[in-house]
Order: sequence, then structure tokens, then C-alpha cells
Amino acid sequence: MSRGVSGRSLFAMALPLLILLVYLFIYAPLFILMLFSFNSAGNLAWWQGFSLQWYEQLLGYDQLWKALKISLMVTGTTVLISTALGTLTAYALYRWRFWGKRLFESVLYLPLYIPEVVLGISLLVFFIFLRIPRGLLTMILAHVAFTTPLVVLVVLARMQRIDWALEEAAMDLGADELVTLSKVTLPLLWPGILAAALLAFPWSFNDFVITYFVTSPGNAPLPVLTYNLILGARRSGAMGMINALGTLMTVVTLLLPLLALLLVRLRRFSLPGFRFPRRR
Amino acid sequence: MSAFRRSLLRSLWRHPNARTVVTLSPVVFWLALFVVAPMLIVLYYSLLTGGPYGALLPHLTLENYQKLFVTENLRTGELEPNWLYLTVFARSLGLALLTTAICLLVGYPVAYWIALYGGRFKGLWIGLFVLPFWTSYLVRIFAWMFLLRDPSGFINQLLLRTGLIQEPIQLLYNPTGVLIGMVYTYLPFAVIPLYASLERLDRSVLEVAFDLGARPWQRLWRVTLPLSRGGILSASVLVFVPSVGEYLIPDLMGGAKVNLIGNVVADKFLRDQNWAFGSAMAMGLMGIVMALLLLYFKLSRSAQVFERQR
Amino acid sequence: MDTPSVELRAVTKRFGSVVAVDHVSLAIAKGEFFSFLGPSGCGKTTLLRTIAGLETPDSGDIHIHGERVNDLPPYERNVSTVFQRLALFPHLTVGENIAFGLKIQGQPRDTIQRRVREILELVRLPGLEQRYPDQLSGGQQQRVALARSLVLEPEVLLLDEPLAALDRKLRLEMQMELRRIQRAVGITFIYVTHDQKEALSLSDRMAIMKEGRIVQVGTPQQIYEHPRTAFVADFMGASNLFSGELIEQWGQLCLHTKSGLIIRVLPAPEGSSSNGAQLLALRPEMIEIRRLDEGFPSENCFVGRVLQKVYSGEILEFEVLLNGTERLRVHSPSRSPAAQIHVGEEVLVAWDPEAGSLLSAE
Repeated sequence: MSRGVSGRSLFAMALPLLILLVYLFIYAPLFILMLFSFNSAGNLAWWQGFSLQWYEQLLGYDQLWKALKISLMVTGTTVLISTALGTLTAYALYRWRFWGKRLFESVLYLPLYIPEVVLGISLLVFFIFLRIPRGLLTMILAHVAFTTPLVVLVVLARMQRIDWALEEAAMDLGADELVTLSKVTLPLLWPGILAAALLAFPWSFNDFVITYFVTSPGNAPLPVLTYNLILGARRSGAMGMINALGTLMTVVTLLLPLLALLLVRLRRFSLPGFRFPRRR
Repeated sequence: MSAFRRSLLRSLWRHPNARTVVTLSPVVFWLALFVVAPMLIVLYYSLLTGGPYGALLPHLTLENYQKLFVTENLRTGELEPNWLYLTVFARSLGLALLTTAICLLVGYPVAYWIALYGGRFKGLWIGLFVLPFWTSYLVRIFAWMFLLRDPSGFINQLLLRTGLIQEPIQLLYNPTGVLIGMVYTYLPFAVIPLYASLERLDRSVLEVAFDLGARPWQRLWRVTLPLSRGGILSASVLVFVPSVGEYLIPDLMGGAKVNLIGNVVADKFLRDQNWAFGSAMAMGLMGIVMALLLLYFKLSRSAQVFERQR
Repeated sequence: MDTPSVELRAVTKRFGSVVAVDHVSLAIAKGEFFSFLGPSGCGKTTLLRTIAGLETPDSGDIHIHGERVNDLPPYERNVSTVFQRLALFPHLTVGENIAFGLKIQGQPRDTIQRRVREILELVRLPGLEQRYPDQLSGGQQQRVALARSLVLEPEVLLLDEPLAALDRKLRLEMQMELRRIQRAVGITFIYVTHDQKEALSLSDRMAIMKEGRIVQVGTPQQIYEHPRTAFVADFMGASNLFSGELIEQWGQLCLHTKSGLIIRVLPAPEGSSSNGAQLLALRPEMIEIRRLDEGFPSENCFVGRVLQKVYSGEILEFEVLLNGTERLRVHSPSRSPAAQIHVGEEVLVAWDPEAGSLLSAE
């Protein structure tokens, strides 16, 4: 018995230590990046003194603003389209049976499995084949294709928690299919749809590989600009500015999924006009 | 909305086929045009003959696929293994395998701890694990480059200044660097399915195991591991599939010395203008991924049956 | 006779190879409180959903207030349902839940407000308009679900085991409420339940269902006291069953049991065969139990020995052995002379011929 107990306590002691190390492994790189964005030395990863020079340099960099504008245009449009498409798709998948459903599902989730470089190259070849000039349009087309499956997954997860007898109750009280959809189904799905949109945002905003292949040099969104800066920094050593850029991008993109998490978890969340139902 | 349009919509909605077509046609259209059609074009190109200056000649051939494996010896005219690409494939598969193994070894204890000892804050712990996944992939890779560079990277500076090493060590632009980047990026892909399957596990079964006199390691080996088979399977696939097709991590952290399949595909298109061969290579990568997924769906179905019986 | 509220003509509904509702024909009068009673899976809920329009019958006709409604969707039928899981809209307040149907009808705002207030008073929940369903107790949610349907003043109100989720005390209270409200509004109620007591105490008439068919229709008293089949007799509570030959002697009908008892019976209401093998059902509380020295009270009177005596609150349950083989269950009030009887004692058991009912073969 004594061996069992000592074995257990060793195990119980070693485990939290390992967990701590893993969390350190996950977060330390990002924290160090953030910390050194305030370092006065650009390339050297050793503390030389506090400085905001990299932020000043970054905010004065006109390419940044252009790239941000492009990113927001692409991602904003993508989130709108893919949320609408994904919600419709999730509804159809959850509620109805139809011919070819399994085939449809496997194609739908394909963009989540295909290696990004393959999808990116294929889209590049496709746009060249159709002679569509690469730019904002091609980026949006590609982004919707790989963001929609994510939206479907998130909305489906929400649907699993809905009591569908509510739809029957609405029809029983005299609401036809369309009124039921707008007065009952959509309000119940709202938190799921919102969460999906909030997750779709960083998903599209942060994508680099596919975007890289379907855009033109003149239309570089933020990730492509970051990539070009990283390539340049290997030689020129402008790492401080990338640290600053990375810090800003991390902080901003982390806020959205946190908000999504809160929305899904929160028990009561009232805004004028609608209210989130309690989780069952 | 006019009464006419309303009744039209209503009768449409009542018709199962019509409503499915109307609801799904935008997505089907989008997927067909921007996922399926591009892949089909690449498949078509992979069967064409590559001409000089990047031209594609419409002679259907399997030569591009053949070139993935064998090449003609220019002196003797005999076929011999094409080591140039075979090494790339082997390196990709090996690195993906190593990444998967490390992610499982590190991820399992983490998932186990969160699922069994996480208490009230389980959701928070797992949330902290997923959170960095939503930050920019590029920024995360850059953060590691900032840590690993020599001699000015953080780790080298730390070790040099504390006197642990005298000479800077090379951590970046070699397979180690790529491996670190891949483990870092794909660890959450392992932890989440492992956590999900361990969370579902019936605790009383574990208690019974102790009650029957099983030692901790026996319990882990005989009870916990077999019961979380489904999670291990999902974790392996979810890490392996993106690792084997990785492009950006070797591109930035491998310093052109650790080329994986994805990098060669991109090079064939962007640098060498050899679309036919690049397409064949892309299809080869797709083939590996598809085979893995099919295997996974087959295995997971049997794992599910196993779990449901419990 | 007035047009019935609901009329079913050979309604049949299949799910794959399972026949959930099998040629059910029935007429329910205006203002009636009608119950469908049966074990789970007998098709009663499917039948209710078919009337509501949530399922389409495979064959047969459904008429509501004389109009054939087979092809009408639920929202075009003048019926309303209180669902088993209540299905209150969690994103709407109590007031909004109740106003839901009225708003769809396009009623003016002040009418809606007035009707919501009135109906909340009827179900005794005044002033709760602003609450959300999850802030209410189980009984209160029940009343809101009822109010939400009643406010539309439907021709028929369908209730699908609405009290199943409540605890015993609350359920009894809500039963009284349902009865009171039904009398107050005069709407036809169709009630589905698997609880015999509930059906008996609530209904004007009830139907017993088994495997998609209606086995017996009648008032609670008819069904309880004179079950027509062994299934009904058993389902309505433990009954004593005697099997034997029916023989007419001296102008009187008697059942000769295999154990040798001769029991006087009344003929079955519908012409079931007056001779041959028959089953007789007898309710335990219809039997009188006395000590031997108390005399012969009735036509059917036998001597037996008490095997068991169980006290269960308001009644005493005896098991009495007759003729060495028949075991008879007898219930008598706890505070009666029977309380003096001991186990092992010889007793008299007796009942009137009207108390038993002959069963027809199923």
C-alpha cells in the first residue's frame, strides 16, 4: 500500500509542475514579445530601457494604415457574408433531411482540413484561369470559403441547446413558418450567431497563407504586411516595430474571442430589444 | 411584405425540396466555385505536360506523378528513386509524426489534469489553452523567432548572460526550430479533443480501479488510456493533418533549409513556374491528407461504438 | 345535437412500420373535458399532435367545429396546445409570452394589454407580466402556459400531460385549478395523461387507449366501475379477476369459476355471449369484509381466510383466500369495523351482483 500512496503523491506533485511549464510555454513567447515592444533596443532581446519609439515608428508608418484598411474591408465583408451563409446552412443541416446531405457536409468542412497552402495555390490558379485580377474581391471570395464552415460549427453547437418544441408552440399559437423563424428561432439563435461572427472575425483577419496567394502586392492586408516586415527584419533588424505591431494585433484579436466566450457563457445578457435565454 | 409574397414564401417553406434548395444554394454555389472547382483545376493541371517557360501543354500524362517518386538518370537513362522529393515527403511525414507524438505526450497530462483536477475552473483552464489560438499565427511564429534567434534572441541572451553557455547555440533555421514552432502551434489541437474525452470519462470507473488495487500507473495504462482512445485518435489526426501540410512555419523558421511538401508546392508555382509538377505535388499532399481523414472516420466510428458500450 | 368540437373519423398515423394511431373515431362535444388515458407509447400524444396539426394523419379525417382541417397547418387551426415541456419562450417575458398569439392576430395594443391582464387574473398570477419564465416556479410556469393558450379563446385546448413534471402536492392543486378554469371559460379541453387518478378526477368523459386504438370510452364512473376489457380493468387499478363459465340458472346469470364458486352477475351491457368462458372484474373496494358472526349481507357471499392485512393510510388492504385457491383483494376504510379483523381469521366477503362487470374478449 505504501508504494501506491507514494507513487500517487509523486504523480500528484509532478503533474501541476508540468502544467505550469506548459502554460508558461504557451504564454511566455507572447508576453516576451509584448514586453520587448517597449524596449529601447530593436533587435536585441535584452532589456535596455523603456521606450515608445517602436510604437511611434509604427503609427507613423503609412503602409500600416493602408494594410489595416484592407484587412478591415476584407474581414468585415467576409464576416457579414459567412455569418449569413453559415447560419442558413447550419439551420438546414440541423432541421432537415435532404438528398446528398453527407456529401454536402464533407465538402462543407473540406476547407478546414485541406492544407492551407494547397487551397491557396488552387485559388491562385483558379483566379488566374478565370483572369480575375487578384485583390480585394479575390480575398473576400477565398475568406468566405474558409470562414463559413467555422460559422456553421459554432451555430450548430448553439442549436443543440435549443428546445425545438418552442417552434411548434409558436405555430400552435398562430405564427406561420416565417413569423416563427423571425420571432422565435432567430432570437433563440442570436447568441450563437453573434459568437460565430466574433470568432469568424479573427479567423479571417489573421489568415496569412491563403490570403498571401490570392492577393496582389499592392493589396497587402495586415498579415501580409507583417510577413513582409518579418522577411525584411531578418536583414535590416527592424524587429522592435514588429514587436509593437504584434502586441497591438494580439491585444485586439484576443478581445473578440473573449467577448464571444462571455456571450456564450453569460446567463443573462440584456440589450434593449432582445435578451439571451438561459443555458439549459 | 405584401400578402402575396408572404404566402409565396410560406408555401415555399412548406415544400421540403424547395426550401432546401433555396437555403443551401448560395453555400453550395460558393463551395463549388471556390473550393471544389480550384481543386479540380489543379487536378487537371497535374495531368498536363509542363513545357518550357511555364507553359502547360494539353497532353494528358501521369509523368508528373511518376516524377514524385522516380527520375531518369541522365547518364544511363535508367529509372532511379527521386531522392530530391522523396526526402521532402519523408521529412514532412517524419516531422509531422514527431510533432504529433510530442503534442500527445505533453497534451495528455495537461488534459488529464484539467479534466480531473480542474474543479470549478475547468472552463477557464481550457479557455486559456485555446485563447492564443485566436491570435495571429504569424505573430506567434514571430514571437518564437524573437526568442530563438542567435545570438540576439531571448533564450541565447539569457543563457549567455547567466553563463550557462559560452557560445550561442543555433535554435532557429534548423529542424529544431521548425519542430518547436509546430508543437507550439498545434498543441491546443491535441489538448481539446483529449480533454473532451477525459471529461466524459466516468469517474467512478477510475475509483473502482483504485478500489480493486490498481497502482496509479496501472490504472493509467489499463483503464484511463483505453477509455480515452477516441480522444487520442482525434488529437493525433487534428495535429498530424495540418502539420504535414505546414507551409509558414518551415518558411519562416526553417530558413529554406527545412523544406516541407507545402514549401516545395509553393516554390514550384511561385519560383520555378512549373505548374504541372507543382499541381502533382499538391495532389500528392491532398492524397495523404484525404487518406488520413478516411482512416480517421473509419477508426473513430469503431471507437465511438466502443465508447457507447461503456 | 350541436356540432361536435372535434370529430375524428378513422384517423390513422404510421411512423415507418409502427402504427401509432389506428383507425380512431370519436366525437367530443363542445365544452367537454375529455381525456385520453393510456400507458406510454399507446399513441395518445400522437393523436393529440394530429389534432393540433403538428402531425398529418395518413388516413382518416379530422373535423374541428364541423370543418375538415386535415390539410391546415397548426397556425390555421382554431386549437391551441399546452405542451408537456411547456415550451415557454425563454427570451420573452410572461406578458410577451401570453401576448404572442394576440400580436400575430394583429390585435390593437390596448386590447392585448387588457386581455393579458384578464387572463393572468383568471390563472391567478396577476402582476407577473414583466417576469421571465425561468424566474417562475414550476406551478407558475404551468399557469403561464395555460394562459398563453387560453387567451386566444380557441375552439379546443389540447393539453399534453402538462402536470407530469410537477410534484404530487402541486399536481393535485393544479388539477383543481384546471377544472375551475375549464368551467370558467367553457372551452373544450382535450387532456392526455397516463395517470388514471388524474383522468378520473378531471374528465367529463375519457377514452382508454392501447396500441393506437381506443379500447373504451365513457364517463369516469363507467370506466372505473365497469371496465369492458381485462386491460382496462387492470389499467384502472388492481382488480380481482374471476374466470369461469357463464351459465343461466333459474332466470339468473351465474359465473361458475374453476375453483367452484358460483357468482351471480348482471349481463354485460352489450350483447356479449351469455354462455361460455368469461372473465369477471371486481374492484377491491366494492367488496365488503365482515367477521363471521356479523351475518350474510348480500347475494354473493363467501367464507374465506385472511392471508394478509396491510395498512396504507386511508384504506386497509386485505388478501383473502376463497375455496382454498382464489385469492381476493379487498379494500375497506381504515376506520371501519374491519380494522378488528386479524390475519388467519375466517371472514365473510360479499358484494352486489352490480358491483362486478363481465369483460369482453379483446
